[in-house]
Amino acid sequence: MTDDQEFIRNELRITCADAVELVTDYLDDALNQRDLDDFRTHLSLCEGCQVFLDQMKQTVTLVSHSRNTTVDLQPAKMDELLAALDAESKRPSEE
Amino acid sequence: MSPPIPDDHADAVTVRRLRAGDRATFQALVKELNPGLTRMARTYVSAALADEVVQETWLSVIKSLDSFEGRSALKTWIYRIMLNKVRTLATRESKIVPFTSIGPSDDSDRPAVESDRLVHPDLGTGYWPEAPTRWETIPDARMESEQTTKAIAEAINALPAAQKEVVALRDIEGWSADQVCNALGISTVNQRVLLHRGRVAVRQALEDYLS
Repeated sequence: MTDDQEFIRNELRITCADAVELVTDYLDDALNQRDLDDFRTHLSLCEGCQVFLDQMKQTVTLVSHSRNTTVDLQPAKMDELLAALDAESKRPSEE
Repeated sequence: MSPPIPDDHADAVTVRRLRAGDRATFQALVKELNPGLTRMARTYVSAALADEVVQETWLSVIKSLDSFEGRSALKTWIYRIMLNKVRTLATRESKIVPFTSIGPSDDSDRPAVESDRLVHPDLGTGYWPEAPTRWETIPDARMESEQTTKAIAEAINALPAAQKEVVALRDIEGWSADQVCNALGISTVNQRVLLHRGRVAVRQALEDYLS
């Protein structure tokens, strides 16, 4: 390895392979201080990992949209449930 | 005699009303939780079966209200009842129709980015040779299209069950990490590993779909 390559690797602190594994913990504020420092420093210098982090955030956002777009959710059969609720609350052994 | 719920339990009032057969309280609870329970159940079994499982869940909730001890949130307790039912059903179903078993059964050691993509000409292995394509360049209409939504749903359904449960609760239902650990009975570390693996797989599926 040349001096330049060694210098860049030192500046990056951790490899991209390590950085991408820290993304979920980073988003959850679950990294310890040392990992957080390494991750932030790496990210400030590495466009590939910046894009990866953005894509993970976008993935989470897009997944959250399926909460609203799920089609045709059937409501519960409320009559049957209310009858069961009535029957259960009237059971003598309960209170 | 029902076990007493501590007065400071967040659901104490709700549980007392439910035990007394309060219809309005019950209907409000069903209205609040039924969509999420159904969405989650549908990641295991067909829509029709999922609806049945959720209906049975509510019947079990009614019959088991007396045994609720307030050790967890009411919502968590109800999800656990549903998960027990749907997991059993999915296991039975998968012997006939293996649709819940599509995808890798265990990819816990799989890296977030395949190692052959991280080979930089100068820096060596473990570094991006160039940044991945930014999704910001893709038109919103494509990112938010029905096909993209479908690709995401397929990617989630293809996840191993443990990852699917965590992704569904965290990222679709919006639960906190603590709530998920409690509902699924898993450790904090395990929760984060499963969430990471699941999100990474969905990101990869999206990248494949969008490229």
